[in-house]
Amino acid sequence: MDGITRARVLAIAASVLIPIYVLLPTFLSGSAEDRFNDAVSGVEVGADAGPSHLVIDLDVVSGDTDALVAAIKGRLDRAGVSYENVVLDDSGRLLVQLRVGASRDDVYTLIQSKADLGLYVGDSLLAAYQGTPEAQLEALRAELVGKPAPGGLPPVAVTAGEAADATTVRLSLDLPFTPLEEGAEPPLSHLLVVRGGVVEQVRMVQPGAEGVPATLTVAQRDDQAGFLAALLGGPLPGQVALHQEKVVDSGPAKAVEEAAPSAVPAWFLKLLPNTAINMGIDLRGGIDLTLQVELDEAVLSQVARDLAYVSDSAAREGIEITSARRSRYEPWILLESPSSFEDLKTFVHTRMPSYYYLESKQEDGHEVHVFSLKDDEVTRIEKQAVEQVLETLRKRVDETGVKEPSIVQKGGGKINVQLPGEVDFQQAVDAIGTTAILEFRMVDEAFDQAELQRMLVEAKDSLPPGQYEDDKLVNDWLYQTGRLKEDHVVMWQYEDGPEGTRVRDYAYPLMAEVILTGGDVNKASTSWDQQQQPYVSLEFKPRGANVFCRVTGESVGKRFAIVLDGEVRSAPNIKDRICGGRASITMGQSMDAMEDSQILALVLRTGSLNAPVSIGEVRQLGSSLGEDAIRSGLEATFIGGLVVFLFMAVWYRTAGIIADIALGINLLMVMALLAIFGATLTLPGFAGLALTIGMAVDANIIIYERIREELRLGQAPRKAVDAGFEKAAVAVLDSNITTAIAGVVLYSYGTGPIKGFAVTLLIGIATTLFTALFVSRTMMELVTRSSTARLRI
Amino acid sequence: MEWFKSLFYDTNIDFVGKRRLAGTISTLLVIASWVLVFTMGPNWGIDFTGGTEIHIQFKEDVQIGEVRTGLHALGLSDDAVQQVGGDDDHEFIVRIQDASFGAAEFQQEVKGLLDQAYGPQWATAMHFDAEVGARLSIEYTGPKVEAKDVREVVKSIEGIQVKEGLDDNQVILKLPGLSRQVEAQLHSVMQGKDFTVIATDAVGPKVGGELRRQGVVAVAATLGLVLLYVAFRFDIGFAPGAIIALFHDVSLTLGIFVLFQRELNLPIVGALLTIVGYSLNDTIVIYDRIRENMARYRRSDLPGLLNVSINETISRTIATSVTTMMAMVAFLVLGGPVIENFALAMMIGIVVGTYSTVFVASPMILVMQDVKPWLAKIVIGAGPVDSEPAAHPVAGPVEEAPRSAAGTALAEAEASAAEGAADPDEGLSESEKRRRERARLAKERA
Repeated sequence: MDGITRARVLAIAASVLIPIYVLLPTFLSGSAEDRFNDAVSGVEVGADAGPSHLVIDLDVVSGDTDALVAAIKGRLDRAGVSYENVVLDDSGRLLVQLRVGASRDDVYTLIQSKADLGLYVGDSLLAAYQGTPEAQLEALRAELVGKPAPGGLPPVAVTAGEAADATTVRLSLDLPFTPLEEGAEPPLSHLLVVRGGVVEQVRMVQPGAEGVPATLTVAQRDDQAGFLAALLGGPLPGQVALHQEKVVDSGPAKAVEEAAPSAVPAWFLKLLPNTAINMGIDLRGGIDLTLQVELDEAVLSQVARDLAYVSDSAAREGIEITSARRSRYEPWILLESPSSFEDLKTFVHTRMPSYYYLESKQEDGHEVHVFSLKDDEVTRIEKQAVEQVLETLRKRVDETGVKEPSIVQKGGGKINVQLPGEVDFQQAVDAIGTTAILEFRMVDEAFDQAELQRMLVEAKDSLPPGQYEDDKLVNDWLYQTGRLKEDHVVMWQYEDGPEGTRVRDYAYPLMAEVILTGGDVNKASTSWDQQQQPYVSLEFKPRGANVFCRVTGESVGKRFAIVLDGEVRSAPNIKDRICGGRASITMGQSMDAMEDSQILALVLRTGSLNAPVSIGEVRQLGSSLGEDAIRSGLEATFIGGLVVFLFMAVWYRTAGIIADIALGINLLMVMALLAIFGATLTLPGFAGLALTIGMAVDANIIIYERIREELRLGQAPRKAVDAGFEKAAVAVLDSNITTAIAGVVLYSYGTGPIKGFAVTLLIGIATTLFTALFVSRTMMELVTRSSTARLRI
Repeated sequence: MEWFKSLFYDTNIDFVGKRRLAGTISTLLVIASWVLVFTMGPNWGIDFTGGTEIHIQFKEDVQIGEVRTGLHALGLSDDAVQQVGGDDDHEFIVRIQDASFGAAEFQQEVKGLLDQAYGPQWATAMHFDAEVGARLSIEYTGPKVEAKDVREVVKSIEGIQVKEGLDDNQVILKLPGLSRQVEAQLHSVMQGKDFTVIATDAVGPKVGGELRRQGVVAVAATLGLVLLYVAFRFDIGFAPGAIIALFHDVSLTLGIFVLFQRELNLPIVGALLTIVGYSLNDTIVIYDRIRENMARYRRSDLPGLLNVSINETISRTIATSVTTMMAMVAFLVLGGPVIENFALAMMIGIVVGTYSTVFVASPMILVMQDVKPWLAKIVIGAGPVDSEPAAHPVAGPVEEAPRSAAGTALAEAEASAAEGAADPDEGLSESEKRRRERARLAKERA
């Protein structure tokens, strides 16, 4: 073997080993059977595929485990939650394996309901209402339903609860008051059914005689009767805490194996590259949403807000504006003013620099001056609108707890969101479809920080771990135990934790009253002051400006909190009374100040700008169908591939086997490149792969037919191979380049699925050229290197 | 095996001679396909029209009639429900392609509730907008109303969202997609028969339209660029053949899909793209041989030369078609419902693509040969392409062939081919002799 050949063989070895290295993470994650499955997010390939499961892994904190298993099973049964099994694993953890269709929230409520659900008697509240008992009840209901349970109401012990029929639950209660003497009219008492800290029902109850438990019939919405009965069946005989949860798409036995530590040593996993092939939603199941940020509407919405501001600020400048309107479709503000045109123009120029004068026209005998939003401003608003939606989306999607979500910005204000796995459709759409809520609340500076910390430590000790992480539940607990007054609320500033999670950073004692909302904010942006310190400048709408003026006047020296979706994002100090609608928040001189201020400005805008989002496209695929699709797809690919491989070996014998090896290397390289580019494999992507294999086979066929031609003309094998490759190369190159042209066009014009096709095709063309013209040739030359060698082709 | 293999070598079939027959058949088929497309119309999937598609599976035996009757209450016609899979699968697809489906009821319901709460004069205008779900913007008179108050009024409509509009006297109501409505209806009428929703697809009408537009632009751009590349690498006379063959293949496949009213969805578009790629590949391989032979046989006649080229590559054409076909049969039999349609499209494409390469793309070179001088006359400045009508690359010696921008690349290819020919080996001159012999025979027959 001469030097050049040796180098070529080494290159081929590298083209096998590097793809294998790149593909290792794809094949090694998870247990033996499930390695491939994990790479495609747990889609079962084998014949014994079971349905998809959400597995909730619980630590047993206290109590007897077997009794817990039975109790949890009982609750799930009664509530009608579809589950596979509740089992104990080797390490003493409880695994709750749910079936498709079970709502994760319901399950958590069922498992952790102890502190969640209560019945409260509120007879003392009756006094405030007049009229018939029904009217009183109605009034009470209106006041209480949907609000937190009032503190101080004594809890009622529930001794038994059962679903009488599909819509009714019958409860037995121990009421904490003395029964009446015989013959006396029983007083009406009120029972509040509280779940998750929110009053759901107000019911009248008639206490029974002493020793006889009171009964209550609670009519529920159809689907909730069993649920409530399950919750009221008595507390769990112990306590559990969430360890982890994951989606597993295999039979129950395997799910238990999954929980066991991975067989692959950690040090080895560390050596592996961070690559994996993503499977598209059409192959793995999940939801694929395309959102359209309505850019025009975002711009018009800014114009509408500027319009609200213009009259107000004009009055302060001494300019009278008799009519201010906006155009329905264009980013224009139409002003009528008795002041001189020059004054008006100067006013707009200085006060609303993002507008320019467009034209003046006569309408019904009035002169109307049209000012238009500048083009670069329009572009900026559009960009901001998309950014804000992205920011909100990331946070919201994060909250849904979906693993491996993908949020990708496309052109023209489109955003593609992919949520793989079993996802509650409505929950996802709700999470994505609503805009962020921005609130301003005052910080209670009088509140003792040490006291707050003590309260929180107590809450942490008393609440199950899973519940302490929930801001709302902690507050509910603080109210219920009388530690915190109703007019206060504790909210946290969060920071980024490991692996994309958000963890609590700092707790603020806030006043419950919301002083301003995002709707009161007009604009927010970042600037620098003279000391080159960044600050966020903030502009309120007229109403917001008035409120802000009053509040800041009352609270100089205190802080107010900017709260977005329940998280404190910033708590600036009020230095002085701020009137006139403009405020600035200085950010200090820290290294991150610039970034912080940009984030804060974005937060303020997120709550203010209502960038409207519409859903352009929703695709949901149950992972069972995806599972079917991928299984039959892989089966077909395997059989199809086998047929092709056999044909090549039979038709071209030695050369055919060489072609098969080259084809194998080709496939390896395509997969590795897909993993490196992080490309997503979709169904059309599979089509691209099929075409690639076809073209790779064809390249070899072209070459071999050429070699046969040469051989039949009496050439020595070595010469025939050389001549065959030389001549066929032109045809192979041309046909592949022409197809690549089509691929490039499809890539640049196409959307998602078509792009996927194009990417696979382009990668395939590159690897086909390499394997057919280099790998095959080297091997053919090795086979025919001696002058006496015979070639079976 | 050997005798079987030998069937595909040294063939001498007069393909080009049948070009008039093939041309007539192809033209008729393409016209028929487009007539079908425009009269019958493709069975567009919701990917292109917008709409909602819900794939459900019942746990027990359910007849399609029950599902249809159950959905009549929603105003759905019988066509909307289709059974898929086998009889034992109890799987159905409910497809609603009307983007404004349910709009009237939704408006009616909202109007009723608002009238009740604010009086009939309150709402002055209602604009309905179909996307995924519905969007209703309402203008009203009188004092400003908070979104949450309106929400309270319409809360009986499940899943509704209320937002304040841009203007002071405007509220916007949003209703999520139809799939929930259909599910709820089925749950209530199919009492006791449990089903699972396997897949839901909802596509807004705007997205669908855009997708169709993009598809057309992409195909047009591909055809244009391929035309340029073939003209540059081969000869301007080759390019139309490649393009017409592509057009031919896509038209026929589309025509067959329309004829059998198979649903046209994104995977099928994927298949059409694959056919384009496959057919192009096939055409270029034969073109390459024609180009090579043109450089080699300087005085051969064109029809004979085309025949020789096709015959020389026939073994490859068959080998490739057979392998791809075998793979597609595996896909068709084993691939499952999603891949089945794709495999079918591909099989049609392989047959049509192979046919068109031999009987459409190659004879088009001949046609262009006749058309070119005529074109040169009417297009002023077309001189560089081919100034002398008689002088095409086949006619004269390579050295004397007219040079053009396209010709330079051609010359390179010729040069490399000439290098191969200049190999000081006995066998090659032997091969030349045999080829010339074959070309001569073909010429005589023609």
